Amino acid sequence: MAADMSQKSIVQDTVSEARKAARSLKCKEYEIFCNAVRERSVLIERDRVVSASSLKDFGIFVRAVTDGRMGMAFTNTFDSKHVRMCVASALKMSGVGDKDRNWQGFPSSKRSYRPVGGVFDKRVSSMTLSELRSSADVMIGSARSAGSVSVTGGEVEAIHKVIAISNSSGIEALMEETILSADCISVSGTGNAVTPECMDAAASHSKNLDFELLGESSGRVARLCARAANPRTERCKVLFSPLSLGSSESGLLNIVLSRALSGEYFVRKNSFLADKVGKEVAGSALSLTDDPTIPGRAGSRPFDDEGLPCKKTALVKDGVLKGFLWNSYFGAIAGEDSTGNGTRDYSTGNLSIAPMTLVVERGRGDLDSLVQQIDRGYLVWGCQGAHTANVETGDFSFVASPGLKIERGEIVGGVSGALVSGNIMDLLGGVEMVGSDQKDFGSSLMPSMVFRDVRITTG
Amino acid sequence: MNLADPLLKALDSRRCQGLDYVELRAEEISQMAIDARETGLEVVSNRGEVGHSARVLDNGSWGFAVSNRMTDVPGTVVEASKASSVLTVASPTDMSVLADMRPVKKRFTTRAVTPLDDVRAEDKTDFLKTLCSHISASDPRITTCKASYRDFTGTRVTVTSEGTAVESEVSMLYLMTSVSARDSGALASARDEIGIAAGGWEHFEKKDTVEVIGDRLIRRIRQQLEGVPCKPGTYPCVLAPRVVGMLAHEALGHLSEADFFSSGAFSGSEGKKVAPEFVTMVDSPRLANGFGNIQVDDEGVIPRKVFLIRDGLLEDQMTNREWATRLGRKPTGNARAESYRVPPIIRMRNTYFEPGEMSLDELFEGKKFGYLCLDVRGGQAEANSSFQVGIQECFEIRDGEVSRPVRDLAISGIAVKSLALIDGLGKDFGFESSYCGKMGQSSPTSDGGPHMSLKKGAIVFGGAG
Repeated sequence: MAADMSQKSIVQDTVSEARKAARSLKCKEYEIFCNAVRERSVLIERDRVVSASSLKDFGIFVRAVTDGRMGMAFTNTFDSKHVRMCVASALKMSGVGDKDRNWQGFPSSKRSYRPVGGVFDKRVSSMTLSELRSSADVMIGSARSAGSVSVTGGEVEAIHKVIAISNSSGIEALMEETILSADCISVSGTGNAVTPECMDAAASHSKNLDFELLGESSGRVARLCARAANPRTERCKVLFSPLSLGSSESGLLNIVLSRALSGEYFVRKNSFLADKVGKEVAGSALSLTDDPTIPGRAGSRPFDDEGLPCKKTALVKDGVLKGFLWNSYFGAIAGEDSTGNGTRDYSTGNLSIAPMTLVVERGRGDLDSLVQQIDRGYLVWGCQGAHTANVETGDFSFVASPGLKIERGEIVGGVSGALVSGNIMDLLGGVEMVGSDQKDFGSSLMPSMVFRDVRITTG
Repeated sequence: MNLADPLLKALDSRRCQGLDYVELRAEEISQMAIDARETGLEVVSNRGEVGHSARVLDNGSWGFAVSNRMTDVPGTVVEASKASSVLTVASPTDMSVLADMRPVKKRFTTRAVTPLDDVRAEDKTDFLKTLCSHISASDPRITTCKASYRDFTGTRVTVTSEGTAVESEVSMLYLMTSVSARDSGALASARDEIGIAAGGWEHFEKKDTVEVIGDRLIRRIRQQLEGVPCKPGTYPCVLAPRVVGMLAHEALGHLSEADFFSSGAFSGSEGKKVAPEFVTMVDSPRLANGFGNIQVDDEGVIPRKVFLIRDGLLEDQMTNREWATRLGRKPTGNARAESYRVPPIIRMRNTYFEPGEMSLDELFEGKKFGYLCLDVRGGQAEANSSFQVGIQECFEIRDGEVSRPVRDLAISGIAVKSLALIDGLGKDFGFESSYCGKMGQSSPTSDGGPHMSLKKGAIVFGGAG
């Protein structure tokens, strides 16, 4: 995957072509978002790498506005004819749309975006499939090193992406980034004595991903789960791993707070945090920002999907809610400036709001030292069913899977079927300790956290 | 030019010579997306996409490559071939080998009465706006309503070096409607999903009309607002067809996918009793209005019904061609790919429990306190057969009668234990349709069954309380 200029030039040429088409079709208000992706990956099953893949992808989204009515279109064919057809299609769709009284035009930027260091690593863009396979082999070997563990799944993936945005209000933005990510899934035991899938995952813009550590972590949890402990119905302290809070697919805080802190949910009155700015929403141990400006972090980037500069936004400081995240559209409705959190739906081209990187400020102690401080409780390594949480009310109910029982500061074994339920406001109100072990998932930078008085229900 | 032509030409080229197996897939799909709210339209979007992929099996190893340049299919084959060459197979048992199949040459069409492309965008937007207005006007406590509609039309093609050449017409639609409400500070939300794998706009004219969808959601949101908290614990319960479907999908379905089975909790239980003898559970490629319906899978295999549990005994697994070889069985036609961008993997289609013989009254009989779960909000499975299902519509059962509505909750259990505690199946049948996620791919599925009664200990209930 050579870091070739052609990928960048294709994107730049296509944007230029689309601009020309928009002008010739007399489209006064438009936005063009173009991306090109090269991706290489290897897939793990049954303790080995079973397939290798490479992908070249391209796409152009056009949003066109006629008299306050917006239409959107997409094509993945980048010749002049198709690009022009895509612009024409967006214009046609705008004729179907309703006039939006809140529409104030595509954003312009008073300040240009600043480059963020460490978002592109040539070593990642040039990684070969053989290198990815070797990295996966290291991860598998590390997970299995202490025996009694099988690696049932996982992936190592290297992505090189170019994004360009141009709009009729003068936004011009171009970025190039690389992402190296990996996950490792281990189990211990067989048949009806098998443990849940014990996953660990990490992402980075650079080549500095520790595959050995990732494998070791996944394998270690599987081994700890192999010894069965009996959960009981009770209220007690629960230690959440970074993965269980911060993963974009199954991290409880990431899933619920991404919506609850969105200005769109605020404007629509669908956020349980809507009337709580300036009030305590969590224990004082919790401080939360959205910060995509930290050099080298996997979620860092110079501008959002509208081309507006990204910035650090305070969300919760010492337990007190400071504000919400905004794109230009909902910000204008609420009288707020964009925080640079415009996020594109890659299916429709529509703009919504999401955190770039949710950062929970680090506290003291790693996961092991937090375990030592718990007399009786549980460690939730993964949240099975976190995606079924009600993001508007904050109610959640998931299975701690993997879940481990803690007694007198030690993990005594894995538990099956322990249902953890409550409301996110009550959970955050009971935050007792925040670890120093921030883990980078791209969409979040999350440490371990201990919450008190959490309800556990068993069969 | 026909979509299959560049694929067939590439198969004949020297790039494919000497490779053990080459599979080329291409798609040309248009997507219409409309998001409407009670305040008007939010998204009107047209998406056109064309692309192809090559999957190569050589010396027992898989390589896969994707490109959207239809002019360079041979180049994609080279990329896939290079990818397969970086893998090494340590032992003959690790080699990927495909089960034999007779090449299929066929064009599969859909039977849309009102083809989606024939319906004006304005008519689609009117339907969605009317739906949102109908719901919003029904109760002053409703704060927002959103209807997200997607339809997909076009063609998918698969050709292989073994001589298979299939072309499938695509006409699929999906509608998710969600509603939020607030009453004295209490927030509530509910949602409804409709998916048709092969059909047209007639579905909204004849079956799921504005009134039918609207009334379902209005009922659910009112129950959420007026519901009492769930009492955490385990109780006897009755699950309605949509929840039974999710149980089928999450409790046993995923663990009966051959690639998951060997490392899952049911491994070693083939032929053994896992449920009472009146329980039969299947995965089928055909179900009236099923979202998981397929006429051919993405390896070109003509799909068949699979009995996962028959008369209480664990029987078969869902396979692709590679896993069929490993198990020494015929492929079941469960290889499905979200799009040309990803390789086919083993996926469910329509997964359901077969109906039993009990009346609803009989299922409720003797339950002093328990829960009736009517509708779901997603779920997830685990290797150790732990399942979790979000519930958005639920009632208490008191003295064998349906009692008060219950707010948002989730149910969970360990399938190895729960399946054995089924104590009754109704005569009725129903299902839900949604997208299922696995290994980063989403796939349309339907899941269902009859009403089901379970003993205390089978299901754990938990909610915010």
